[in-house]
Amino acid sequence: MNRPEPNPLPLPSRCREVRDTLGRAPGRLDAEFRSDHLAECPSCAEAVEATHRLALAWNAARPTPPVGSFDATWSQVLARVEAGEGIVSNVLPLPRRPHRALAVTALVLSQAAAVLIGWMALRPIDTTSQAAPLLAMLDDAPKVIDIEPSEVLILRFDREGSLDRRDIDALEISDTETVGFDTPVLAYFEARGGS
Amino acid sequence: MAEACAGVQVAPDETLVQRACRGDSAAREELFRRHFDVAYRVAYRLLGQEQDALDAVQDGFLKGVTHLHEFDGRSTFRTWLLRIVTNASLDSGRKRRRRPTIPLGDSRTDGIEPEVTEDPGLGLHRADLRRRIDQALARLSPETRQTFVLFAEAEFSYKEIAECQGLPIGTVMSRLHYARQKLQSFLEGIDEPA
Repeated sequence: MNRPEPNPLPLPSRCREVRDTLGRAPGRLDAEFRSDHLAECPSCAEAVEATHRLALAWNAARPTPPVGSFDATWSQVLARVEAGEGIVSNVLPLPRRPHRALAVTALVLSQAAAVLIGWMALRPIDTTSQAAPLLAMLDDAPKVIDIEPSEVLILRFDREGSLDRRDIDALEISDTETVGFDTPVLAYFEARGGS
Repeated sequence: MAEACAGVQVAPDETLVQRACRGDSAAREELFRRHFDVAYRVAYRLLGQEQDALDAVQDGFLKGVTHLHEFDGRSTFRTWLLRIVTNASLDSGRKRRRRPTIPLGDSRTDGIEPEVTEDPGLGLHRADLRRRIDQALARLSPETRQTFVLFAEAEFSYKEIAECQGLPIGTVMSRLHYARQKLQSFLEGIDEPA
């Protein structure tokens, strides 16, 4: 009766240990591994050899920065810092005319609202006429209202009946889109990007 | 200036960070100077071009300088800075797709002496070897390349790579294994006569 040959393969746990060390820190494969296990395990020896060759090639091909490149880079970095670059990178870009434009817009809108309210109080009621161009009736109203991109302008149309397209067309609104009607008297406009 | 630089060279990074945050420009310069080489190597390995790498390092250093006060010491300064440079390199790479091959006579090899590697058996000059490595790296996906470069060049731990890339550690390990296999197979014929 033949006795079974002792298993020539190394213990799997030992192989795993070698592969794990190879993966994490190939430089730590010490003499213990080499003498104790690698000589008996062709598979691990091959893996170690391949890793060694890759490490050798990787290190030999290690790039080095051109002479003087730190000084050149650093002076560029300082110049960009001086120019204010990189400081507000996580902040939304500011509008081009932030404060003054908002103040002027608010003033114009308040004046327009005042004129509208005055006209509403004094206007003659004519239920038979068709929709008339609104600005034609508002001689004192500002003819140009400037709003910033993404701002919403709300106009109240104080008239009988529901709004229709002619009311909007009469305003000669450009670079905006009508984003909603709250019939019968309110319309919302939003400026498109850029002004 | 020379004395000041000599004085700060022995200071640990954390001390230099504190001094830099208090307005010490010499400390700040020294802080970034001592990590410039590794930052360049990481950027170069990711991008494969000298000028692209220098641009990415400059972008990364700019962000590092302007956000230095946000460094909280949870990692080393080196790790923090290399993460920033890595991200700058990836941004740059997305804008300018990585060149898959490096043409012969490229200017980046001009300054490199054709010295023989440490292992004469490799039979390849350094420039040729680097070209091979570049080509092999270019065959990896950007994500796998980043993982391998962070491990092999930046010497990040598995945990640091996992945090940097937002991956489980197991994925980092499998990516490294895959990258090694690919690179090794690409470099297999390396010791054949050139």
